[in-house]
Formats: sequence, C-alpha cells, structure tokens
Amino acid sequence: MKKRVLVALILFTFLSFVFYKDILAWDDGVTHKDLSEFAAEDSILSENKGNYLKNLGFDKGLMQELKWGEKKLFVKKWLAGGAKLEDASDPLFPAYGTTRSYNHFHNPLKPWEQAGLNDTWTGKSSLLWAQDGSYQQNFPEGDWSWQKTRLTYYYALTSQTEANRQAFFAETFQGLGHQMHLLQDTAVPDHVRNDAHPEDAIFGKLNINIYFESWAKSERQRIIDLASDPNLLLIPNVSFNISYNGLSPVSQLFDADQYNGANPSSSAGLGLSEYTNTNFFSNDTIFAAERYSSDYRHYFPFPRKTSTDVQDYISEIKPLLIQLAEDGIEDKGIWIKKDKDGENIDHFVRTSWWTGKIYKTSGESALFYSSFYRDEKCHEDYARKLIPRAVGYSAGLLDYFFRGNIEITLPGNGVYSLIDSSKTGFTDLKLLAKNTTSNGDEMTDGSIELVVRYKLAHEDPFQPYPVETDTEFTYVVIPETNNIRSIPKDNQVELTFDLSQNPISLWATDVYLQLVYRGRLGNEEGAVAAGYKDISEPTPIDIFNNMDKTCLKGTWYDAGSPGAITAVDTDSAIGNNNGIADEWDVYPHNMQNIYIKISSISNPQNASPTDFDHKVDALGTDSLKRSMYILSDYQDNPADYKFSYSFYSQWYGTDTRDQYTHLDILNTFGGNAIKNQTEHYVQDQQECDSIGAEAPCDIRYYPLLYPLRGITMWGPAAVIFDNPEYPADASCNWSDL
Amino acid sequence: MQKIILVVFISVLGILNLSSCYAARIDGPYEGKVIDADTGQPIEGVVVLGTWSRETPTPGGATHNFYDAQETVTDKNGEFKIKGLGLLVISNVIPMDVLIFKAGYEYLGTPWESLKKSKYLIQKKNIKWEGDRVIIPLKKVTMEERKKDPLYPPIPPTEAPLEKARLMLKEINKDLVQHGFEPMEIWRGKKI
Repeated sequence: MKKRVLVALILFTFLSFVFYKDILAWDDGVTHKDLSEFAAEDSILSENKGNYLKNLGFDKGLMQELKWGEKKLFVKKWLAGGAKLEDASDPLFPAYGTTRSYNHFHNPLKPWEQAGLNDTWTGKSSLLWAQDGSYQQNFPEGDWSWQKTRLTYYYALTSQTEANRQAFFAETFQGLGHQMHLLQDTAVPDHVRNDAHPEDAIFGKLNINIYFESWAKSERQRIIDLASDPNLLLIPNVSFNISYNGLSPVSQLFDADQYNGANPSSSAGLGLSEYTNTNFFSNDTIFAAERYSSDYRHYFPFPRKTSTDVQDYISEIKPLLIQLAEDGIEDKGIWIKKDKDGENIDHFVRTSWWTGKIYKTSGESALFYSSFYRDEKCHEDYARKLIPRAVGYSAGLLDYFFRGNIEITLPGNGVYSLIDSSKTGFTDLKLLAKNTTSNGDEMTDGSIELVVRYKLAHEDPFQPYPVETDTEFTYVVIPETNNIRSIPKDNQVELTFDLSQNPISLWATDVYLQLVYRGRLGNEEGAVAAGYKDISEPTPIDIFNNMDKTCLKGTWYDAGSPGAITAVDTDSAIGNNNGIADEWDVYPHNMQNIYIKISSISNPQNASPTDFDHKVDALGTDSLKRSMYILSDYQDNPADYKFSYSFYSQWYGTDTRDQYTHLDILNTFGGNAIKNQTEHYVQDQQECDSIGAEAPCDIRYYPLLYPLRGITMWGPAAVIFDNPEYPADASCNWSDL
Repeated sequence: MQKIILVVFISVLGILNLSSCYAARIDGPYEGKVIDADTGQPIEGVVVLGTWSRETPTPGGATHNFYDAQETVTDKNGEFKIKGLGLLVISNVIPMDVLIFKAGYEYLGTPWESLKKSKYLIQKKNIKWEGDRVIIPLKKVTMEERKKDPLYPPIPPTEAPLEKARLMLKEINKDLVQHGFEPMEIWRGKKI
C-alpha cells in the first residue's frame, strides 16, 4: 500500500511536468498590459479611430503624460498599469481578502449571483465584482469599479486645477485598465469554466528547465503579433440596451445572456465569457459534458464530443499528424479538431500516450475523456481566436465608456458670447448642444456643466505677434443656468451659462469649451458624456473711420483738401472746373449712431436702429473704435466665414462746403474670428513646413492683424468706413496712408 | 530508508510548490551580444534592463510583484552581462525579464527564458545562442514604425526605483525626443 502511495506521488509529480507546462492564462505583468495597450490603439481613444483624447484636451493622444502622485506616465501606460494592478495580491499571503483574482471568474451559464468561482476556492462573479465598489474596498488596491471610474472621469472633466485634472484622468485610465483586465480574463477558458488554476504558478517551478511561466507570457511575441493583426481583430456587437439590476450595460460585454447552454455559436453578439465558455476547454473541463454529471461544478454542455471529430479518433480513422515547429523539429501526434457548434479550432485537444490504451480497456469512460490535454499547438490555436477577442472586447469597453458625445455649435446669433468694449471679460455664454453619441443612447436626465479652459496672456493679446501666456490652463466650471437636463439627439438645444462670477478674460488665449453631461445615458445611470469645441479666442469688432482721406483716381488725398477738390473738378469725365467739388463728395465725414448686429452666417441679419447688439454713439475721423468683443468659431481660412456682422450707421459732413445729402449706410459682411493658441504635436508636415519644422511640431498661432495708419485691426471682423472712391472702380494702396 | 528520503523529498517539493517557491536556484549571470540586424555589426550603448518579480499562485493564476532590477549598457563589442541575483533559496522570485533598448532601434522585452524556449520568438527575431550567451539582432526603425507601435515606448515596471532603471529611462527619453515627444520628467517622484 505504501508503495502504491509512493508511486502515486511520483506519478503525480511526473504528470505535473508533463501537463502543466503550458497553461493558457494572461500574465498580469506582461499580457494584460500588452492587451490593454493594443485595445487602446483599437478604440475610440486612438488617433486613427476617433481621437477622443483630443476632446479631452490631450494633443498627444495616448502619448499624453499625466501626473498622479509620484508617477507621471503616458495615458496608455496608465491603462496598462491598471490592467496589471487588478491582479494585486499579497505576495506572502495570497488568501481570500488579500487577493483580487478570486473574483475574476464568471460562469455565464449560472445566475450572476452564483456565477463566481466555486472550485475549492470561491469568489464573486467578475461581472458583478467589476461594478461593486463597496465590495472591492475589502481587497488590496480598493475600489476600481466601473462606477468609481466613471465618477473619477467626471471629477477629471470638472476639476479646476491642472494638477487635479491630471490626477483624476490618470486615475480614470488606471480604472479602465482594471476593467479591461476583468474582461480580458473572460477570454481565458479557466475563468469562465469555474476552473481555479493556482497550478499556473505552482507547477511551473517544476518544469524540467527550472523556469516556468505561463504560456502566454513566454510567448509574448506571438501574443503581440496576434493582438496587432487587424485582420484578426474582432469588435463586439453586443446590445447595450439592457440593464440588469441597476448594473451598467457594460456587463453585456462580459455576458449578454445570449448563450443558454444549448445554442453554441461564435457570434460577436455574445458576451466574451459566453463565447469562451461555449467554444473552449479549460484544463479541468476537457470533454466536461462527457465526463461529469450536469450538477457537477466542472460540467459544461459545450464543447462536447459531437462538437469535435473525436469520433474519428475512436473509429481509428484519424491519422497521426506530423507538425513542424518553427525550429523545424517534428512533433507527431493526434490532435482533435473542433469543427461544429460555433468556432472551428484545428488543434483543439491532443491525445496523450495512454488515451488509446484507456479506450481499449474502458471505452468512452470519464477516464478516457480526461486523458486528452492541450499542448502548445492547442494554445496557439486558442490564442489565435481568443487574443483578438480579448483586444476587441477591451476596445469595445473603452468605446462604451467614452461613447457619450455632445456636439457643440454656435447659437443662432453666430457667437457664443459678446460684450461691449467697456467690459474686461465675457460674463455669459450660449451654445447649441446635440447628443451625437455613436450608439444612439439618449441623454434624458442629467446635470449639464460647461468647462471653459483657457490660458491667460501676460499682455494685451491683440498683437501681431505671439504673446507670452501662463503655462497652465485656467478652468471655469459653470452649471447650466436654466436647469435643462436633457440633450436631444435629433435636434439642438440652446444652453445658457452664467459666467458673471468667473468671466472669461479678454486676454484669454487657447480657449476651449467642454460640455459635461452626467446622468442617464441610454440604459446607464450615472454615465458621463462630454462635448468639446475649440472655439475662437476673444475677437474685437473694430470700426475705423478713414473718411478724412479719400481715394481719387488711384491716389489718396486729404478729404476736403484743395488737391482733392481739384482732382474731381478738373476730371475730364465729370469735372466742370468751377473751383468747387460739386461733382463728387470729397469731404471728410464723421459718424454717429452706429448700430452693430452679429448673426449666424447661414441666416445673416442686418443691423438697424431697432435690431442691434451694440451701439456706438459717435466716431470721428482717423479713429479706431474697438466696439465689442465676441467669442465665436474660427476657420484657418479667413474667407471661410463663421458669422455675419452688420453695421447701420449715419454719416455727416464736417466741412461747411459739403452740401451733399448723406443717407444712412448699411454694411453686412461675413466674418471670421481669431485663433490665438498653441497646437501641440501637429503631425501634418505641410503645417509644420509653415514654421520650418519637422513633424510632429508645436505651432503657435496668433492673429495676423491688419496695420492701418499706426493702428492694427483684426480684418475678418472689422470694418473701415471710407469715402466713396472716384471713379467707382478706383483703388488706392492702403499702405500709402 | 530510501523510501523515507524519497517521501520527505517529495513532501518538501510539494510544500515548496504550494508556496510557489523554488527550492533553490542560481539566478544569472545573463550574458549576450546585441548586433545590428542588417549589418551584423555590434551595437554599442544598448541599454539592457533585467527585472525580477515575485510570483504568487492564486486561483486566478499567478500574480507578480516587482522584486529587483539591474541594468547595464553594451560595450563597443555589443556585449553585455547582468550578474543576476545569485543563489536563491526557497524563493518565489522568478527568472529575469529583460528589456533591450537603444534609441532608433527596435526593442525587445521578454522573459529571458523565452529567448531560449520560444521557437516563435527565436525564429522571428533571428536570435542565436553561443553557449550561454545570446546574440540578439536589432533592426533600425523609422519614425513611422515607432508611431505605429501600440506598445511604444517600453517602460520599466513602474515599481522599479529610478536608481535601478535610470539608464533605460534616459535612453527611452532620448528616443522620445527624437520622435517629437517630450521626455519623461519624473519617475516615481524623482527627476530622471
């Protein structure tokens, strides 16, 4: 008897060498981090797939550095770091309560409350764990739930200091790393088939080469190549229309409740745990349907015998295969293929050296079915299917988290804000908002806040050169004034914000708007959505009275001067040589009652004494009046107008010889506003060429102000009132003035 | 007597297994040479960072906690040597992961053992062994290739103290600057 025990122990140790050499699991230090970084690149966060990070003010996208505590890392590394930390465990005492991974299992065939690990050890379903912050508090690293991550994102968007924003954003991305880890684990058969696998670490140490790590970690290069292959990538197509028990519908990525144990498939509409459960074996659940009774903890209905060609093996018609490894060494064996009930996998399981012997002695017994195993070839085929799903579903998780999108556009009056020149800052702001969430989720009930982000110039920024500014942004966060709580998706809603307590300075540069909605989004309560708009910097509406000058036959004259009078009096076409300018009004003019109206470029409105935004009482000659300031949109091409501006004005002569009747004048123009900001990491070489730099480059934009008679103006929103030229098609060079 | 010894041996092995410990092993040295994949010439100044972690078995698989790091730079012959941790007794510290990086070249981050065992890696990267010394070819990379790499830049484990990974961080910064990014300023609260 003792001898048998001894033999059994020796056999057990020997088998551990043989069978536990290659266990398919995602390593926390490498694989989870890699998968998360690939997922980020395949998500809306990527520059090529939505560049959502630009909306958050991160010019460098995933390469934006964020500081939190003593760490300053790139966005992608915060994601990766979170993915690693989700496996946090006490290295010396990895028991329940000191180890998060007890809660990294989800059996999609069980009610969720019972879907966690129940295999010697027990734990909570990873789907529920992911959204149970108070429960996570009891474990190392604490609460990294979906809900907490969402709240952190809200704090990041609405914090008013750069340091806090960076910290909260870093925390948000780390939280998303935790969430992706949990989802990635559902692409590991052990994690969805109730198969605890501490042997991953334990038996690896007995590897004949002493070194052991999980297969996936040691095959990092293969995993990287699978994860980066765009032809393999599979983005999920689950419905987020269902919310169970108040959980966020992100749970659908884990378990969409589509698989019921009788309908195996490889559909992208399955939750990832369902796909993995129904299509793959874990170590202890190989041919589980044939080995165990349906109430046993390792029983799973699929894959089953009829999902495979194992009958061909039983019938002895399955040939011995010779596989050539990368190093050219032959490997002879029989691999069972899965070719029905969902995914097809060539090397599904392999027969061991005693499989045939057991069959001959006991037929299709449980022992026979337990003699199959997964070798490296199987792991390669498993990984080829599972890695792209792990990446794609993780990308889907990021896409879902950041799905809420709000389009910000100019309101009907063509400006977000306007003030007269007596003010030093913008005290209110209006905008149109529209829900442009890509999956159609509605924003029906939530708080709405505006975040205005700008830098403060150290001098008057209306200069024809780049002025010095603060290095850090100023943030103003304001709730919507009229308590509007929904943002429709089929039309726009006008939102109003009272900035009187924190006006946007006229010296603001680098002005951006962010709109933050927090509330119900589709079927998710407490979701956060954001809109973003790079708007113009404060832009003056300048009026210059140049009517002490007159342009006659291509030459400037002082209005009313003898030269001007002679020019028209002796003109061969209209001159009568009587010594007075009764042919053409060449006299100077002052202005009064100038009414100014700003309106939408699509529906321009004329200024009038009854319809105006601002009135200038009087303006003498050779005078510039900076009448008002606006915040609007800009276009890099000044001729691409963003708003309309109109002047209704009265002229009157200042020279007693001026006997002309002066009608009220109406001028309406298309306008464009100022861009006065630095754009970082510009990747367009043509744009970088403009400053003689190699892409990527930083470009500091500043207004090209128009110089005239010793002053400068922003031309695309200015007007120069001028005497009528003679003849009508005459032109004079402004630089001659 | 022999049976008793055998039983004791297996029992000890089992206990060590269950606590995820190696009974005893000698870690290192790790030696190699880095060459230019196109010219075959040795590359001087390649930073080689070795990191170790403690592995803990859990029902959800092994978890890892940073343990130590050592770094060095290839000499004019492209050669490097990391001495390793030496004798480890009843230790759950697993063999070294290595990160090999030089600005302007592709990088390689892998468990050291994979350089020996991963046929896929060995073939793809054309890794060779001369006795216990690995020969690692690195290709020059373009800016476009860098930008397309989702894992770029490779960074040391964030738990690694600055003084253990300073050479690597400085080399990464050099490469970041070459690609238009700002260098990393701080690492674990200290200026790099």
